[in-house]
Amino acid sequence: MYRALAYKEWLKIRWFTVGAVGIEILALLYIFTNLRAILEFNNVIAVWSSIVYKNYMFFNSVKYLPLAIGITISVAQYLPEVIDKKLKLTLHLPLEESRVLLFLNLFGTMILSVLNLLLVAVLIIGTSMVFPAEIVWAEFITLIPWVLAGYLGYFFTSSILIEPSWQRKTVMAIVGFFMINIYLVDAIYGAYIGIIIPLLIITLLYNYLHMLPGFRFKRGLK
Amino acid sequence: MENVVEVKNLTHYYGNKKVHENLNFNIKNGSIFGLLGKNGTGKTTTINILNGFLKPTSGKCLIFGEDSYRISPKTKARIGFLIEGHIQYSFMNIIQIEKYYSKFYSNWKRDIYYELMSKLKVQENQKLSKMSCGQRSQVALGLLLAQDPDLLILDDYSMGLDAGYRRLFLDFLKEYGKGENKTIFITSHIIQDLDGFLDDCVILDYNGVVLQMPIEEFKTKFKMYRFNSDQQELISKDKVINNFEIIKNKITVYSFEDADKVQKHLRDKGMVFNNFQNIPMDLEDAFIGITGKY
Repeated sequence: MYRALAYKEWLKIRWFTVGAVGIEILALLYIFTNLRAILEFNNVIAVWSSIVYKNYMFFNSVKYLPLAIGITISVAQYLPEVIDKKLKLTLHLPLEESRVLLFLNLFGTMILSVLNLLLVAVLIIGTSMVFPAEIVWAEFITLIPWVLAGYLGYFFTSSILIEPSWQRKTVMAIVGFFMINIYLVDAIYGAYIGIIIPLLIITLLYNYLHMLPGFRFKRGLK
Repeated sequence: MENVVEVKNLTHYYGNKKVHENLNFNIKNGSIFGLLGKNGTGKTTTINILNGFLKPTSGKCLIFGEDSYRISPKTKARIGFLIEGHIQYSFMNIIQIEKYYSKFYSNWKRDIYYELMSKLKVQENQKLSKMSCGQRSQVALGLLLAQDPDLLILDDYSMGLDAGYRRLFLDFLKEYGKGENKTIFITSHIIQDLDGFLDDCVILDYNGVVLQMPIEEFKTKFKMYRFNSDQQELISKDKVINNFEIIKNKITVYSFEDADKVQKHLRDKGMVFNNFQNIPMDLEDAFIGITGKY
């Protein structure tokens, strides 16, 4: 049964997922062609020095990409469920409602993970061909909060869409905005290293955020 | 189990607005039960409570003996649910949606679904969002019948449908329901279609339940009388007269009493009248008679 549920979710988001892959590829092409050009036209030491001393982030153009993808996947997945209250159809299936709600978010999280893995893996592998391990590691640590912001954007957007009350939607949107902002502060390389683990745990806990709006939807609350 | 649905002292408020107060009715196994009422009388609210999508302010609603707010997955599989407006996943086509739902129900009857789909002039890869309202209603009905539920809950099946699709919908439903001893709970605002279809009904108006009885009994006992009189001021609702209309000197009264008793009642009130006639009614006339036109 859950395979069928996954089939439905995939039908909703498949073209958005393909689009996200396309945008990631374009962004990566832009980053690496740009980097290549910089390395060609500049002294390599000057580039390293810019990275180390001037905090030059050659991959900065993907900062908001995981967030944009997270929000897009959530909208693609949940908007068709909330238009005409179609979530009722899903909750009427012969399955435990809490498990269904959890599964929907887990499916979206899994798709996001694949997309994020693609982005981070290509960036890290590509960078490691040019820069030493220290810079690659610093880049990786810098990327993590950006990626986590994507998950958080997904979790908050899902909850906002499912929530039946406009007041609560607004409160969640404001809280979400400020929460996500914490993950995207302009900082030096690896600035988040001390709080990566708490940030990761907090983000994962937000995977349950949509459960409350889901139950409120089920109870018919407004 | 004699009663598939039992509604006991159901009361529901939206804020301060009363929708139901102490609503009681039972739906017998194998019967076709209609919840009739004008727009805004609480039909969809009742459906939402029955399906567990709304927690009532007080009272109980049992489906197959389970609290409707906590229906187990096993019982949910026995309930087919049509959302008002034949809502289904519009991003799917008819093949995808059948493939999707078939995995949830062990008694899935694929042939019934495709029999209905063969009557539609749609492409297999045509999404539901590109179909007409009537075509979408057939997809929704096909899915319901393929599910093979013991209880069908249909919220305003007639919404947006022309006469042909409404007839097609009911014909399939009737054949299926009666043939296989299914219980059907239906709401509609187009009453005339349900004439000859329902076994029992509850009629709601803005103040609550107006009537609850087997439909044949209602149609047989509820009468419309028309007569002429210039003493319109003497007409009022009471124990004999359930409702009335006055157009110039032509007065129409609705009553569960026979013609003699109504005429005697009018005379007792001091009314002088002539040309007293018993006018035959269909279900829609009777519905308007009991609920009024406004």
